[in-house]
Amino acid sequence: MRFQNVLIDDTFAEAFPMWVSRLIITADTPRLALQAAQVAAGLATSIIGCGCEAGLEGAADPAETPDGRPGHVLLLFSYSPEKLEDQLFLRIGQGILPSATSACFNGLQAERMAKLGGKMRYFGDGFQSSKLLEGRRFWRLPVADGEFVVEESFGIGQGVGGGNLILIGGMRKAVLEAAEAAADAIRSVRGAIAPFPGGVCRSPSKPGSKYKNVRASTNQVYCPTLRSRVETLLPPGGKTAYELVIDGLSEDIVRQAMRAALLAACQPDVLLITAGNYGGKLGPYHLYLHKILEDPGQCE
Amino acid sequence: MRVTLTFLDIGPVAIDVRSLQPAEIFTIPRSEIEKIPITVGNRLILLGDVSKVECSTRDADELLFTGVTAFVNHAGHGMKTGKLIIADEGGSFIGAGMCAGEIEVLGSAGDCLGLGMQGGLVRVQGNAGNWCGACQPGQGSGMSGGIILVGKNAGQETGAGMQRGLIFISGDTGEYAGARMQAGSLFVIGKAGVGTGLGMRRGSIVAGKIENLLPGFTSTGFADNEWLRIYSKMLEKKGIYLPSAWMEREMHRYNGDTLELGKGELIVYDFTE
Repeated sequence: MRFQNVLIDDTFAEAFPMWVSRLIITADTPRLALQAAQVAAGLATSIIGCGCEAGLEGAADPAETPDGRPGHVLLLFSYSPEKLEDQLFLRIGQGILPSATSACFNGLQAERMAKLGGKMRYFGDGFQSSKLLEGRRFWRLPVADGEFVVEESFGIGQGVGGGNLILIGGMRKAVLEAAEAAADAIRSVRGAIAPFPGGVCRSPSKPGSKYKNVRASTNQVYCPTLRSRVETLLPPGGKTAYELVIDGLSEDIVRQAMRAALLAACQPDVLLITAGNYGGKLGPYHLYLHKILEDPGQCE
Repeated sequence: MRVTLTFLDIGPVAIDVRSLQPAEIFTIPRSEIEKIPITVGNRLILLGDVSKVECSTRDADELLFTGVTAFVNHAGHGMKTGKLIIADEGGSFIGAGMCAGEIEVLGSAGDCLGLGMQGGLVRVQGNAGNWCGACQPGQGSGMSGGIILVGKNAGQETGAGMQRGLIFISGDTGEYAGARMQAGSLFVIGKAGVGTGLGMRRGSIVAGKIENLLPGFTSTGFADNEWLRIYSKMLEKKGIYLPSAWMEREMHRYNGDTLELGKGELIVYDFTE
């Protein structure tokens, strides 16, 4: 099918369950909160090599945050709750705790709760104290600008990872503009993130490699410089491909984000929008591009 | 169902109603409610002899005490669920040992409000007497959970021996507020009396002013209090507001009581000798 003169491939993105946590990071100013959240989300582009995928869900209004200060919401996804817990401990401890005036709260109520603040309290070296308020315990760790407040337990729930779109077009600049517009559209959907730098990935990967012990490698079918050497998926005139990977708190949120991205990405010089899948063998969520475009009811 | 008990004027005799549990009272007919034994003075009599019982099925589940309630003691004692409203002045030991549920006193409460309380919410629109949220006489540990909100002043030894939970006094407290406190939070928006925090081991007392700070407290200067904001937000949801100045300006912080463990904190907005 064509939408705004862009060919939309009759295929689906194959998404799969992931474990997710949602952190509310606050600070005295929005800038400080953003800084802390960005550091905690750093180098978490792909589960393949980073241990988790993370990104900013968006700003949190002071009315929504537990301490009434400006904040940012961070989502982290991983394959197992244990792995996610390790990543949370690392990123809160090394990213958020040292950030000036910061505090960190749980933003997801789930059946499974990880006692991260409960572990982190030992940084207080015996000077830590806690407050128990309406069933939620907050640890207060003395630091050099006052106290770092961290909630004792963080929810680890079921999310959905691996939603994706691949944009293929002519001029790199124009395709990149479309991809960036799509990434912005994903950011407008609460509960969804695009974990790659700026939300855009220039290296769609395939599992495995010709080399032993390499878990993922470049997906040559999308590389314009290899089109004469391999069986390419680039259409005639296609010189650039960018992938948008989407993780979300639920299948519906991923679907909404994909729709927002699709609508934003249909720009001049984009020739084809397709999606990556593994023939339905990897994940239970099959997000068909045509259905997403045709049936806004599913998304709204 | 709403059960209204209108207490008759029988003179200044203590009425002990600890046998009335809101959750249980809603499940029995009016005639049975009237037969619940209560203690008046040192005599065991029936509830129907000192109060008029009315039941209304149209309203939400709540137990309402009205009439002459100033001598009705132990209202909501050990309460586990439901809502109790005292429409006028309450007696002593309201909510003592309560675990959950809600008590609202539209007038003032007597001594020992929320004594040894473990959970739930007690809200008093007027004053509270002595030993609010404190421990039983002879016991070392006071309130171990829940929230007490007092609209005006509280008497002496408010929160004494407190282990956990929150006491919020909108006005002043008498002497020795938070004495022997082990943990928890005590907010006094007005002035906390002499001897505040005596022998406290842990926990937080936050006060607008304090009379004669004890020598066992050492100043740690001014500090921002991130955790206060969390309390402020939670209290706002209950219609209670911390003074905005508390959030805008750093407050004096003291650690103590160094005669004991010394891990307690006293946070004072304006120190007055």
